[in-house]
This record gives sequence, structure tokens and C-alpha cells, in this order.
Amino acid sequence: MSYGGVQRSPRGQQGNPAVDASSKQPMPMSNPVENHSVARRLQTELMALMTSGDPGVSAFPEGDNIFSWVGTIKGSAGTVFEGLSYKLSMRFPTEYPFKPPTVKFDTPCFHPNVDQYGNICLDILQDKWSSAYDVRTILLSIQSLLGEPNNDSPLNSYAAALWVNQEEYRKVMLKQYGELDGSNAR
Amino acid sequence: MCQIDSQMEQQTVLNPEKPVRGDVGFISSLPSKVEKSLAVPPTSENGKKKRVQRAAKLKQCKMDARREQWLAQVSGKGRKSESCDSSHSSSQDDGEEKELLLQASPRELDIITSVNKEGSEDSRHKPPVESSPSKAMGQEWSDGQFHNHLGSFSQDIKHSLCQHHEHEAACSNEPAKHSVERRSEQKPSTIQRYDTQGTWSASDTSFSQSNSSQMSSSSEDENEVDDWETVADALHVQATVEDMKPTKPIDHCLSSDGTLHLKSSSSIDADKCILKPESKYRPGNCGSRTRADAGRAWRPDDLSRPETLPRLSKQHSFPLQSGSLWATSHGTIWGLPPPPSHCPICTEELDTTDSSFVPCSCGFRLCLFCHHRILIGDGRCPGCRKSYNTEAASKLSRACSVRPRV
Repeated sequence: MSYGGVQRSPRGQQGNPAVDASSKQPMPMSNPVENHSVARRLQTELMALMTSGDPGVSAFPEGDNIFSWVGTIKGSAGTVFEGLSYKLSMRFPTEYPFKPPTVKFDTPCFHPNVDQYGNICLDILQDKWSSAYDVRTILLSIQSLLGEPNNDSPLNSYAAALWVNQEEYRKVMLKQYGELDGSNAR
Repeated sequence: MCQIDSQMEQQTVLNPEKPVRGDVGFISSLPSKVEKSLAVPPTSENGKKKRVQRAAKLKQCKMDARREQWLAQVSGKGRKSESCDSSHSSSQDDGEEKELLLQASPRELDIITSVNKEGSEDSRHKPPVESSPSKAMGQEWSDGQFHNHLGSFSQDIKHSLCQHHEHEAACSNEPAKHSVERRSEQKPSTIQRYDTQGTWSASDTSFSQSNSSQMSSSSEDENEVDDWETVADALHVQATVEDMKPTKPIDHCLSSDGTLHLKSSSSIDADKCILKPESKYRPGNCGSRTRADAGRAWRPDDLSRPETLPRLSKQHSFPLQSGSLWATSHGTIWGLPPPPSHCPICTEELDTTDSSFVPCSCGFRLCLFCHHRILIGDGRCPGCRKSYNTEAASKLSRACSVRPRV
């Protein structure tokens, strides 16, 4: 698929070679039986996601690798992110779903809880992870995080400070996106 | 006072049941005199005795509760219907004895006959009316098709009898209670109907059925004390009409028609005596709407069904909040009942062992492999993020693993 190029270009510009390297090579296949069950679970999730028809979120495996997906989130109506869409990369470990996937914004995202590399500070992707979560719930959680940031522990303190003034926030955000327009996948 | 007398009488009817109840289930449906004489346990009832006994215990519990309720509330009120009441209860004894005479085993026959002679003088006071209408009502709700033509008739009469209660239709308290009792009684009665045990269990059946139906009819009667004669006449007319009707749903489960009439009358009289108090201390509370549909339990699809009534199907479900919440957020129905067909973690199919495995009190189910895998790791339930309490988990799984085998 053509997702690879789109997804990697902003990462490369923002200087995150570690992600690039891992996305190029397949996941280590230590235990074939376990891998099979993880793949099976991911396929089931893909089927559920495609049939559920959630309007704001979507995801699809990147290329032939079922362990690497590209997700899309649309900003919810009524938030400063309305009308914008963001691409995310999701990398599933072989311990999935017992370990959370690594989820990052591919599209630059001006958000208090997203850093300049696209890393997301979200508890359910770290210590609050549960194996009952799946791709769909992750994407929906991130979508709701966009509209309801946790400004107490910001990764982007500038965005956190701006958040009180929503008009200004949107203006600054769109300006930042405009500067990055050449590499923006939107 | 008259009131107190009748109260005492009711107690004498109720109290002797307690010691006997433990031994033989069916006896609990009999009134005092006969019961005392029948304290001898019956000859040979084994397996089904237990079931009947349980049903009888259930009824006894309800009746005890009702009596206590009544005793607490009724003491102050006096009513002039007591003369009527006492004649009822005495005639009831008579009827009960006759029933026994026809149904009991030969061993007990002589005892009963003696009792019967004792009470036979009451039989001439017995209003012929009492038996048939209530019998009809019992049939009404036990048999759907019979309800159609017979029920409408009795409804008409009831309407005309208690028109002045019509405005109380809004009170749904009483109807709700009725239907709940009917529901609970329906089960034992159906079981007993198919019992090969025969007459005893069958009489028990008629008791439980008339028990509920009589509540409504007796409440009418007691509320209409002044018009008692009118009521009796009207019911008598109804009774004669009903006797000509060909269908007899309850009769089908019995062998002889002769026993039936006596049986239903007697059992209903017994009920009357027991249930009267309730209608008395709440004279205005009985919605006439129930009486319009009298003898029939609320159906789930009834339009006027009170919302306060419990939905039995729902009651059986296990209310586990976090589990069901998780299930809804997940888009799939993975509540406790029924178990999911696939493990939500690895999406493998759950076998019988897995589906009976509930490791966490939140109700989140998963296969044993995934559970083991989680225990190796952080050991927290995926459904609620609480760490698995190993003790509770093993207990639960043991308890649940028994279920599918039964």
C-alpha cells in the first residue's frame, strides 16, 4: 500500500529515525504460535472495525504487516480540531494485547498531550492499558483526548497554556500546520 | 368483638400449619380441624413430596407475612361483616373435609369422616355462591382460552358490583402484589398438575390457584358488605351459568368431576379465611382494574401493566455493572449471561470450561490461557483493572464449573 511513504515523511523531517527503522523491518517473530494468535486477534479487530462504521475513526494495516497499522482520527465537532484529520501509526508488540501498542501521531498535532514527535501521553497506552482494549477503543480514546486534554501534565506546555483561549488556540494551531504544510498529510 | 373473634379464628387456621408443614407439604393447605386430625403423616409419598413441600413452604411464608401485616394494621378497625365471615370460615371447614373425604387415602378416611360429621351442621349455612365464581376465576387465569368467554362474563358482573371502586383504578399497589403472587404460584401449581401423586397434589394446586384469584374476589365481597346479599345473588346467577359451560380446565388434571367442585369450593373458602384480612385493611386500595381482569396475572405485554412490577426475565440476570459496561463500550454483548462465544483477548473460541470460568467479580470472562498469561504478567483483570484475587477466583470458578454439568 502507499501508506508507508505518507506516514514516514513527516517523521523523517521531525527527526525520529528510531520509528523509521522499526517500521521498515518486520516485528521479531520469536514465537510462531503466539504470533499466530496475535495476528488472529488483529484480524478480528480489523473486521470489527470495518463493520462497526464509526464515523470519526478508521484504521487499516500498513502494507502486508498486520502488526503495523495506520489509523485516522477526525477532530470531533464542537472542538478546535473540528474539520481536521490526523493520521496515526500503531505498532503492535508480539505480546499484544497483553502489552499496549505504540501509538503516535504521524500528522503533526498541536495538542497539550502530544509532543513534537507525535508521542501521545495517554494513560491507557501506558500503565492503564488493559488487554480488553482494542484498536477501535484506542482511537476513540485519542479522539476524545483531543477535545479534552489533560493540561496538568502537558507534553506541549505552549498548547496547554493556550488552551484556555480556544479561538487563539485554533489560530495558532492552524498557523503551525500551515508552516508544516508541505509535509502535512492532511 | 366480632373482629377479634374472626381474627382468632384466622389464627387458629394458620397457626397449626407450622408444626405440620415440616412433615407433609400438602397439609399446609388444610384448615385447622382437619389438620389436627391429620397430623399423622401420610403413607407413602417420597420424591415428589419434597417438591410439594417446598411449594407449600413458599405459600406459608407468604401467608405468614400477610397475616403479620394484617395483624399490625387491622387491630383498630371494626367491621360488621364479621357474622358473614365467621359463617364462611365454618362452612369452609366443612368443604375442606368433604374434599378430604373424597381424596384422602383410606387410612385417613375414618378420621376425616368423624371430623366431617362434626362440621356437617355448618353445611346448610354454606352459601352456594361462594364456590363457583371463585372457581371460575381460578380457571380463568389457569387457562387462556377459557378466560375469554368465561372471564368476560365474570368481569361484567364484577363491574356492576363494584362500580364505586372504579375511581380507584389508579392505585396500582395491590394489583402489583397480586400478579407477583400469581406468578410465583404458577410454577408449583403446574408442576403439581402433572404429578402422578394424584389428589393431594392436585388439591394443593387448586389451593394455590384459587389463592390468588380469591384475593380479588374476596376483596370485592368484603368491600361491599352492605350489598352482601346482592353480591351473593349475582354470583349465584353467575355460578349457575358457569356450571353449564362445557370447558373445565382444572378438571382435566383431575379424575372425577365430583371432587372438583367440592375441592375448589373448599380450598377457596380456606383462602378466603386467610386472605380476607388483606382486603379488609386496605379496602380502598384495590384497584378495580384488577377486578376487571380478575383471575389473570399481568402479562409482560399488558398495556396497563404497572411499571413497578418486576420483569422476571430481568431479575434472573446477574447485575454486574462493570462487566456490562465494558461489554456495551466494546460493542458486543458480553455480559455475564450468556457467556461470550469467543475470548475477548485472544478471540479463540471458549470451550465449556472457559465459558464457566469467571475469574473476576466484575464478570469479565476470558479463556484460561489468557487468564494464565495475565497472571504471569501484572495479574489485573482486563475488565476492571483490579488485580485478580486468587482466592475468590478459584472459589468462583469452582462454583461455576458445577453449573454446566447439572
